[in-house]
Amino acid sequence: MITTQEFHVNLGPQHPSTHGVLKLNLVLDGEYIVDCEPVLGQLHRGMEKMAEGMHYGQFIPLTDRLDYLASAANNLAYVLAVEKLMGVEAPERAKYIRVIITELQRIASHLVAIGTWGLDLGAWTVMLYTFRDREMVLDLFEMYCGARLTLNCFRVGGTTYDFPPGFIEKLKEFLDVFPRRVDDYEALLTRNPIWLSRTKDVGVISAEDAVAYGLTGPNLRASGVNWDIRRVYPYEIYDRVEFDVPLGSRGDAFDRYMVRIQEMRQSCRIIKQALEQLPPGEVMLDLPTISLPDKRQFPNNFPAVVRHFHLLVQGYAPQEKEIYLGVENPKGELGFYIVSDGSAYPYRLKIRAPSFINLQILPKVLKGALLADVVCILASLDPVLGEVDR
Amino acid sequence: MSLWQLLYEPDRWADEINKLITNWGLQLGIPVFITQLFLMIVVAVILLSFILLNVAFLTWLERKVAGHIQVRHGPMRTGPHGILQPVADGIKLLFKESITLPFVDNFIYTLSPAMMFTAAMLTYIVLPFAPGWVVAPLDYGLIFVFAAGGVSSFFVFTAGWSSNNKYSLLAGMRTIAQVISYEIPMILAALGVALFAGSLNLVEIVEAQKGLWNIVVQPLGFLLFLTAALGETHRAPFDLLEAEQELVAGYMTEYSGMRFALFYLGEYTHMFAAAALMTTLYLGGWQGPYLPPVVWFLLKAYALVLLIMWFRWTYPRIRIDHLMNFSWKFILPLALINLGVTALVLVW
Amino acid sequence: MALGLKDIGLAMELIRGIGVTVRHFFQPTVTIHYPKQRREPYPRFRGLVRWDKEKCAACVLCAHYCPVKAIQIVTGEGKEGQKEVLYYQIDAARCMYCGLCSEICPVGALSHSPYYELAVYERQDAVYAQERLAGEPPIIRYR
Repeated sequence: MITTQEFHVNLGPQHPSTHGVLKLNLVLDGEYIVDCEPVLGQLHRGMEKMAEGMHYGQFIPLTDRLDYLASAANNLAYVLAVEKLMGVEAPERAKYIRVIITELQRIASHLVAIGTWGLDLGAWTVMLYTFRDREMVLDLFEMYCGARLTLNCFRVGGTTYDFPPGFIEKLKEFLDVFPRRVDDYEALLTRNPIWLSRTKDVGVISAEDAVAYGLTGPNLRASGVNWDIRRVYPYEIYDRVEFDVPLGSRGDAFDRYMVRIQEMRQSCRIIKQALEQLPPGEVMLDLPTISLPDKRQFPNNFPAVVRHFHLLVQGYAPQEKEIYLGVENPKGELGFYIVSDGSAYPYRLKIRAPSFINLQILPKVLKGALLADVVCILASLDPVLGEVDR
Repeated sequence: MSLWQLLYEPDRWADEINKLITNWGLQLGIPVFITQLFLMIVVAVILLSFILLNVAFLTWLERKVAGHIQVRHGPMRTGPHGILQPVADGIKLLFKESITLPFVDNFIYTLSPAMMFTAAMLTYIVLPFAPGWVVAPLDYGLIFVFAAGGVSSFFVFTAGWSSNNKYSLLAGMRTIAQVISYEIPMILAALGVALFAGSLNLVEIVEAQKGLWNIVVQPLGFLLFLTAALGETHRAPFDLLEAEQELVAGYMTEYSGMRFALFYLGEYTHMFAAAALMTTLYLGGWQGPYLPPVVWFLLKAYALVLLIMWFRWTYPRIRIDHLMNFSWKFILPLALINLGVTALVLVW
Repeated sequence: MALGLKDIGLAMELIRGIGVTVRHFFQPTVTIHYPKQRREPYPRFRGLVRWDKEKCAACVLCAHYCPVKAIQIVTGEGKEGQKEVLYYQIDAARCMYCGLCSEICPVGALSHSPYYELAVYERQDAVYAQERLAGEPPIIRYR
């Protein structure tokens, strides 16, 4: 007597295409997915707890490790949240610098998303092309702050550095070259029949589901929901630049791909406008309560020395209140919910990680899909496990 | 007997050497069948070394082509432009431990890689490299090629089955599905050529293309055959059985060391055989002006190999159900139409 | 989306894809031969942290502020009664190159060097202390 039996496969955490240490417990019927259970937490580092033992300024480099493909964007989210808590605002030039760096980071993050997605579907070459162009962005970062991946370049009340000489020329060069490079990816993928057949009508997320599951970022916009925090609650200078919010219509993997491609073009547009409007001036707020004094006055200016030590040893204490601030990260809405008890350490710091919440819809989308679609859908949701597990 | 003759009149040269050795053997009192056997061994050694060297070259070529397509260099450190990379790879794989896991079906597990490589090599018996340079000019050569190719794929399946690994098993299941759906359109496409030549003998098929290559007469057939051959040899975009992003390494997941290398050798052997077969069927085999026949043959075959490699580094991988649809709903009807039209034209 | 005979026009796109790869094939390569050619980091590059003993004021601010506690300092009294560093070590394996220490050092005793080839064979070789914290680091270069 012949019976049929379901087939259990552990996809991950050691698998070529799970984008980190994600483990999926799959139940297969032939090649079709019957059930899927994501197992999270293999990269848990206790970020939120670590934040409770640190000054507000000390936690900035650790936010790099959330979504390590978009570290500057995480920095911005955290720094803006603390600024909101402290009730301060960065100088104009710092705001522009932050936006330029963050939009570059968005380009870099989407390049990785599309490149690894291509790799997951067997298009190796796309991945190497996108990484070549990401390298140009990383070079710009290295020029700006000295690090390539974990930037740690923004501070509460401004940024650490101004643009070095030669940076803007190099950035303009990149902005000239980059749209043509995007055309190349599109020539390789967008209308390629194999790519179309792999992504069209695969992993469809309806607008209702997307909202119900709390998706944000490109994944939400691909379902046709017009929600971009840069547009809805403009922060920094986003109300002063023109850009379109690319939307999808069907909510399938192909729409998520197209939204990302178009967002890269829009990011270029934002950077160009920001460069035109870039004002002169300071990049760091000169406020005795939060900003470090100029080191050039040491050691003769004794009050400055005392302030320096006081700020670093005691830290700055905000008022007793709770705030939430979300910004539009490449992956979605990254929010920091900070509860302050009036001391120099946060009482509680909750991170609303977009990848974690985007990943929750995975079991629902995967049901009935093919094994080959698992990697496609996973790549289209673009989770970063550093952020999922925190 | 000179080098010029060797290259430009290989059939006369082969005959002469055959006669020479047979006569020499007869003078010494050695029976004809023993000298023939000796000749066969020599030919086999030459063919085997050609296959192995060719595979070594192809692995290097693939990495180089991939590198330059992806604006990088590829292997550069072993010899000039990394030409000795296959040697280094071979040494490494030979010395690596060949791990046999406790839960594998040992006999089939050990047999599969060797048999897969052997079956892939069988194809070369009937391939005419130049006039007279063919091991066995079988009258049913075309059928033999397909049979050997099918057997080779069968051992891919047994490898996946005996590994007792879920990913390997999935790859094995995919192999069977893929080979069945691509062998049929491939044979149908090739039958058009056989009808034109009026023979299944590959030598006669080549000779029938004198003056007019089959690619001109049957462009559709060529495209169909190319697509089906990609599916048959498991090359991208149809490389579903070793789709590493889905199945880790497919049927090779549990293999290591020299057994793994044998699969690798088998795959490239198979790929070159497919390119050589396409050359024979559609590109006029060894025929061409000025250059010696064997050079023409290799040039055409390598051009096709390059094309196949180019596909791999340009396109994404197709999905298993689309693969089936594509074969049964697209290629098969077209192949049937192609065959029907060819037959009608010939009857007219 | 299932492809059928109706989509034969998309075959042109396959040829366009080949065109892109062919164009890139003849472009100059962008990679470099690493051990033979080395890329020069930009001036602000945050590599291995270097410590200048002469400048250091033994304020211990760096050890206090380092988010991963990679810096260890032992201070004591010098000959003339001033505070002095007796032992200073940076664990390069713990360090995350965030640049906070060099940013907050009031006397500029800490700085980032452009050295980035920091692989070592032994765990303790990654701990840079005292003399090893100045000048060119004793790095085993790949040949």
